[in-house]
Amino acid sequence: MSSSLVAIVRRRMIAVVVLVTTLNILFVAAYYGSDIDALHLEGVDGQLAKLAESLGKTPEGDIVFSPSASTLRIYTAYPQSYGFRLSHRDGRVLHEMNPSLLPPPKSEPFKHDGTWLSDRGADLKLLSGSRLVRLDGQEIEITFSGSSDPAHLTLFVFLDELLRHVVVPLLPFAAILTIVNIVTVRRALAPLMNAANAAHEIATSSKIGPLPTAGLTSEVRDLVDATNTALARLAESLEAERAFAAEAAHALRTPLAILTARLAQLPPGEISRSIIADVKGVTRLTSQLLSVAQADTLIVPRDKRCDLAEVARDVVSRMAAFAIDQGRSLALVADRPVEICGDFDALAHAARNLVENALRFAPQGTEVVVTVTPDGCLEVADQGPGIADELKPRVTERFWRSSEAGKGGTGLGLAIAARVAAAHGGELRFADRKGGGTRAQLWLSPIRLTSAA
Amino acid sequence: MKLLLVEDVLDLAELTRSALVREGFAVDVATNAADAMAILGVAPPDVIILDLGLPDLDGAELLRSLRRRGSAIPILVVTARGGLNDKVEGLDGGADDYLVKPVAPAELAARCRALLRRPQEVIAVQLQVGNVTFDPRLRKLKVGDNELTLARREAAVLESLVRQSGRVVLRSAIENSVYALEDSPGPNALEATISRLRKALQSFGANAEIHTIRGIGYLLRDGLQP
Repeated sequence: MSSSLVAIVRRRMIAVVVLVTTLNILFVAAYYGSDIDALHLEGVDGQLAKLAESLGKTPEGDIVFSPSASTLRIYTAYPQSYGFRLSHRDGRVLHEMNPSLLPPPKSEPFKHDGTWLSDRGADLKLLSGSRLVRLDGQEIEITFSGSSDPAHLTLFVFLDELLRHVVVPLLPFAAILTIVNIVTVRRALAPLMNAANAAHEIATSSKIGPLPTAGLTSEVRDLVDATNTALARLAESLEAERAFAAEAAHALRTPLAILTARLAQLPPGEISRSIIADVKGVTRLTSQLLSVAQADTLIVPRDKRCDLAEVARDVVSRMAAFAIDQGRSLALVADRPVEICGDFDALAHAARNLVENALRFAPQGTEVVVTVTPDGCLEVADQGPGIADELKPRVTERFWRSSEAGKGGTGLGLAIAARVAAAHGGELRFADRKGGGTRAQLWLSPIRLTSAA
Repeated sequence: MKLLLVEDVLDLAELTRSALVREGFAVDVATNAADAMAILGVAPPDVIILDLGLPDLDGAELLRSLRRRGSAIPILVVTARGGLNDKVEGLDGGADDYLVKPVAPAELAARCRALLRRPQEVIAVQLQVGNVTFDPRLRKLKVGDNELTLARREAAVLESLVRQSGRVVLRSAIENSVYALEDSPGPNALEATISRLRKALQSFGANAEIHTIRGIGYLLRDGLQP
């Protein structure tokens, strides 16, 4: 269904060439086939010429007949059907084979001096001919006869004609035509393929740019222009969404900053403490909303690289003090660098959300372990209550919160992590930890070349 | 210690200024980039607190132009942007530290002090975390009335932890700063040193504690924090 246009055009071009060549062959065949006599005569003439070529002279001036094995092949193979005679002007026979087929030597020979003739005989199957050959003043008459043509002399003549009139002049022409066709089709479609490649690039680039229109034919240009119009609108709305998220965050954060600064002036007490905590919650929600918007429009360029182990180390270092404050501990298991295609900051943000989530559900005194494996997985394992299988698909929904979640969560952290993973062509999965707890795994694609080290 | 606060929201500028003044700083306020440049020309501060969103010039642009002119004044960027990637933008532009709004005034003051301390850190005589005092030159550890002179290695390990208290210090960084090439540490040498330090701190009734962050390193933290 989606076979290549180049392949289709090429197949059709080749079909046309094959058809034209076949028609030509049929035409030539019909032409020669209609004049079968001429073919017979040419067959006889061919044999006479072969025999004439076998004549030679000794140094003493005697005429000798020294045929090659191939010349004599039909006479030895079909003694019933072919025969010849070479005779001097005076009737002396120089050489003959299977003479029973030949007309008797005539006393008044050389009627057909230098020519040939065909006598088809009574049964219409006897072909004969003769030729006069002059060799250094001596004259030799060659006579040939054949009946029913078991060696297909006529057929070979026919094939020879085909070769000379069809194959030799037409095939090189057909071949050149085919090659020129293929090259032309390829050239003509190259701008289309370039446009497709440019469109592929856009899928993994951070900018939605227009496709190049240089060197396009009008038909392709129409398509590319239409695509560019659609892309421009897409880029515009994406940019608007990004800008809105940034503006909204800015607009919300400034009053929050004023509020925070004012709260700091309050005398310490129960109420001021809980208001400060509330403002922190709103602040956190604001940040997470901005992160959601940014994660939604995140595009990771294909050439962006980072070390997943370094991401994990960064996150564990930053979160360690927070974990200790919460009465939990953090650990890292990442022995060697794991190069992946990815955005360091976005992945660190995703991993941080996973760690925060794990710390929220892990019981006091337990350890949350961040593990990076060479197959491109960053895992955060906790010893909390675990996630029931039927809830696993729901935990990455925005604003979904478990009934066991305490204060402080926004219900956005795992959604952001899942979206960041998806922007990397990866996935956020949840597995059960042996002995209880959750293993939240960011699966990304490792770059293979460093794995040998 | 003088600060230049570049902040375009007047309410916030005033609130922050008064909070920083209460913390003991002298504070000049500029509400746009042009004012900031004018103040910088007349009375250079010790630290600049720079909001990235300014009405007349992008704060990041101001930051870059300051650095291009070779200004070495520590700059603390405060921004309302802060998302997945903006942090890199600020720090790449030459900022020394980076905070996302809203920032509690106490946190802002602490970061400013940290920036001011940086150049003098090398000659600081006394380092303090919680009720623990450490003099790296004399290798003297003091908690209340208890005093102890540490062995060379223990002193070096404690110094690197104290200097970066509240932050994780990579195990490899400690090993590099403590052990010279010739006395390559055994696999458990650092653990043994840390364990001796822990015992000393504990027996002196210190409220700072050395935490092991498995797989990364150690963290010295003053136990008074929440």
